[in-house]
Amino acid sequence: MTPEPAPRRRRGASGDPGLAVRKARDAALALPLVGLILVMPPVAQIFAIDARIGGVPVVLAYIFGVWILLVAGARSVGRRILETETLADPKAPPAEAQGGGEAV
Amino acid sequence: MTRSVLLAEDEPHIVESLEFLLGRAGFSVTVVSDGEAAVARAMADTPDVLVLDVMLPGINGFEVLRRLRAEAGTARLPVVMLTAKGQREDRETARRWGADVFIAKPFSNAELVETVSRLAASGTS
Amino acid sequence: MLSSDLLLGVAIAYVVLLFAVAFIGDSRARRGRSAWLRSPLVYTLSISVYCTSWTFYGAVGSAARSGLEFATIYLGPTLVFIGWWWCLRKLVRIGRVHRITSIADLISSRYGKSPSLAVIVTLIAIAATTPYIALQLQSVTLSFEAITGTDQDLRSAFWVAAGMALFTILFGTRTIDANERHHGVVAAIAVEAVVKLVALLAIGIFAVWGLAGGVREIFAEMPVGLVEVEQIFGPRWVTLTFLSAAAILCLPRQFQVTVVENADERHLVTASWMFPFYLFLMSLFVIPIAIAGLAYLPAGSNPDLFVLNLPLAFGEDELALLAFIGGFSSATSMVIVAAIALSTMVSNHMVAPFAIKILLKGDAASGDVRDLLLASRRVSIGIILGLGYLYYELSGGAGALAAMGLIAFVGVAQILPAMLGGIFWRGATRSGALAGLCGGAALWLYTLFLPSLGTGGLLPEAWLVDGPSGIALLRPQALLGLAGADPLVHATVWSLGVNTVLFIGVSALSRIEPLDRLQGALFIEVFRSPEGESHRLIRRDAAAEDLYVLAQRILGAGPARALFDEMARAQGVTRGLPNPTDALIARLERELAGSIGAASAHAMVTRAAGGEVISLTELMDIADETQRLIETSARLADKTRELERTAAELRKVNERLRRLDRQKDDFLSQVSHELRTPMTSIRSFAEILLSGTRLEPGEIRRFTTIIHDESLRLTRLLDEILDISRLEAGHAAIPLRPVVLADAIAGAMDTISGLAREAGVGISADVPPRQLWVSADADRLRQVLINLLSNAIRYNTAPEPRIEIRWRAEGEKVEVDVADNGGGVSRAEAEDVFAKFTRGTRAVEGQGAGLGLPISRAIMRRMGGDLSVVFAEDGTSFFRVTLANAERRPVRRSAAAE
Repeated sequence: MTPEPAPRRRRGASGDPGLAVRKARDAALALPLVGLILVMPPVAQIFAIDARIGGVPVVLAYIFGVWILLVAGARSVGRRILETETLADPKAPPAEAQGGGEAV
Repeated sequence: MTRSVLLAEDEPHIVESLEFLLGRAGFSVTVVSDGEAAVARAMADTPDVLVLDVMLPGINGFEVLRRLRAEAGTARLPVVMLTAKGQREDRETARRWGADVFIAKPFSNAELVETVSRLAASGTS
Repeated sequence: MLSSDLLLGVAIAYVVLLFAVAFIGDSRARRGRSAWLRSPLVYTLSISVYCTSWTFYGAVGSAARSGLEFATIYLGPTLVFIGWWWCLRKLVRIGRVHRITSIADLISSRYGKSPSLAVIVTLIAIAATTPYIALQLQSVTLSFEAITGTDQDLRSAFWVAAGMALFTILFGTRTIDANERHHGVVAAIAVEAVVKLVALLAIGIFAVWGLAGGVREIFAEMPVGLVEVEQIFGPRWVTLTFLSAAAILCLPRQFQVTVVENADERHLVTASWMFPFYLFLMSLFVIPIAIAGLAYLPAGSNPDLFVLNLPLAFGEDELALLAFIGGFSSATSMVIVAAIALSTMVSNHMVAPFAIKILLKGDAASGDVRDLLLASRRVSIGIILGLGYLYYELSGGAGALAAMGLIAFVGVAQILPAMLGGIFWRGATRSGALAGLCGGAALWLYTLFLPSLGTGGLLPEAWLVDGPSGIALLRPQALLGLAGADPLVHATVWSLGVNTVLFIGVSALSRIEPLDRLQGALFIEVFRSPEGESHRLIRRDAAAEDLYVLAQRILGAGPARALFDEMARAQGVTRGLPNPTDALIARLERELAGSIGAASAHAMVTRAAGGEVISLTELMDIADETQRLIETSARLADKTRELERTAAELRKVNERLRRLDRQKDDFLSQVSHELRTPMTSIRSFAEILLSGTRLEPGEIRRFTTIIHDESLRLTRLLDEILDISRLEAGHAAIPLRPVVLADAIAGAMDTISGLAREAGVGISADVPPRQLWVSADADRLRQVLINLLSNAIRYNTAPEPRIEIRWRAEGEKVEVDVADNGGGVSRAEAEDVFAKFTRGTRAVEGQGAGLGLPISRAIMRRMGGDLSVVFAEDGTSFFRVTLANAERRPVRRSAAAE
């Protein structure tokens, strides 16, 4: 192993996880869990009341409100991920291990 | 005929000793204390020998030497270089720029006078 | 009502438009002008193929029947997409690295490239998709009937199916490499995605603001009980959300657009919020439309057609036409993508194995597998759509749209345990996956699929009611007496429960096959394995010629030559075929897998490469080695990074050391120079005196004086050098005491007065009050002041030299300035004067070694103060000594260590 191929390796997911990277990843992992808790019973049941808000049934407003907030959350998480993470560029076909296979 | 020496040196006590030594050996000595003056006087007077210190105020000895070697009138002027650093690089630089002899400080009076006399003789023969 | 001809004309015109879009997309892509086709937006829109006519018509129908429940179908995918980091990211990466062609290929490839698993998954996918396709045909036919008011019986469904088959064959089977994107199809799907969204939004806006007159008004019309708050978040809510989440991962068409057609992993990041947003918009008006349908349409209207009937009933023919096109778009896009995905699976996993057998058995010299596979793909598209049509005809177009869609969801969800286990659990084995899939699929058929066909279907009514042969425990919808549950929840719990238990149980009990373990490691650790790592699976005795022939047959002559040329270049082989190395074989297998699936590619390469199956122990070794390799590679990467960091630090330290070394050399060389200068005079004059030459008494006296002076200079120089090296090394502790500043100044002036008088320099001092104490060492402070004053005297070339001493106390600091009228120091030299052995250009006399200022500065700094050059506004400069005021802390004893 020569230290030379290091810059390429950094493209991978592991990278040198600085705080920003770790935070972005944690957010990406946490967001769907938050969403799941919010739209599932028992939390969702709290909003299942026979009342209206601006003419709209509360439960309807709640579900759609959570939904659009999740979209906004995913958008900001995605931006942070793109800023901090370098996802592989698949336009380059998967590099075949020329000789890499031999070295194994 | 009196041989002339141009002495380019900025340490007053060293100048004094060299003036005394060379004068006693029969040379007429002209003293300059910086690089520019050394070049100007060397070109104007064409002395028989130039005794040149490396560490001169203004342009240093090597530069003086380079300028003199670039001029037709002083291209072959015999030059003795003096340096207090005495390191190999200096010696090589001096040789490269065309110094005839390189003498490290502190020098031996006899050696210096003998060298200057030899160069003065070879220059005119 | 619109005329049937008009509608047909519009439909045909729309299909022609799609053909044109697909054609332009394809030809642009082939000319390399497909940037927009590779955009994240188009990727997201193509994923919206999830919204079929089931969404377009069925969601409103479902909302009219069960209120908010319809939203679960879109909440599941929303959660999966915003949680892309968990699962989709891994699937997409695996799909790219291992050139996965379909969901069946994924499962088969993961579990040791098993052909049987591929076949089972393909069968499940076909069984689940057939009703789904039928659903699309039905919706198109229904909408056609509704809008024209005529009974179209089955003809229109047939023509729809035929038209879609043609489209799919034309644009979906241009090449057999599934990893090569279907640009034309994707373009058309993206257009359809926009059309259906616009259409549904238009109907929604019409319902809310056109019919009801506002949001409040439309909800005022809401029938009591439409949104049942009591039971809404029950088992069905959970089950449906789970099923839709499973479906977005497992539906063959979703796998096709999300994983196989993915051109750039970064697109997934955009889709992670944009696709949920699309679903949100699609769902936004569903309840209002349902309310409007229930309120304004005659009782008994089919809720599945509210979207169409609402504008029709109010004479909005254009809007109805738009709705029709929207529904048509939803249906066609789903059918096209599903047909492509399924036909790939059928041809790769069911046709290819036979083709290979034939190819390998006979001489098959001219057998071009490629053409055969393309043909089989085209035929299977026809067959799949034919099956859908058949199902539609058999079921007689019965059943609500939503119910039919859900049956398909539960079917494909059977793949979920094997898929998730495959990418997260090392212990998952092929036997486990096989058992889980078979068990789950069987229960799905028995508890949901067959009963759905109705009592007139394949199951006799007695079975449904009393169980087979009257065994009540085996009643399809109340297995083991679990009656009373919702049939869908019942079927989901049973089939997926049994599936998961079998999968985990059998996996735990069965032995992991070597190839299984190898692939498992590669899949699970896909982010840590070095990309494109090849693995020796086959003995090396393959002949390059055989491999080349094989590649030609599958990939076609051109791509095969390109591949082998590339490999030859990589190996450094200039002429002829590359050497049949492991790397070549692994690469070839991967390329073939992109065309015919992992299992078939593995079988073909294994045989072509010598026909020898590798021994079990050897394979075991490889599997272990690979696993170890993957595990260590991550550690290695960390270590490499650490080493790099250390190396960088070492380099920095080294650089600093080198710089210090250079400075030391410079210093020594300077010291040598400074010492040699006085020694030259001493030696020269000593030799003159010794030579015995006759000298005048005056001369002798003069020369001896010079020798004496130069000796003193030498001593001073040595003292200075010693002083500065001690100061710089930090050994010289300077004890600090409160010092009366006035005394220090007076002392310095006293010492220097002789020199000043001699040089004719006038010194004026502004003496501070005796109460001003500074924290310093009295002798050292005087030394600094003397140095500054003597410099000012020696280097002053003004005609009337003057020196001025000023002081200023401010806060804890006291400043003493020494200024002269001799021109000062230029800005360029301001720092140089503090460097060792540097004299300002004002130096006129060879006195001092140039160590005075550096020493003074070092002294001041060690006393907690400073010495600097200050430039006044008029451009003149002076030296400033900064000291600590000792008034408030008169007992501070020593300076902090440096």
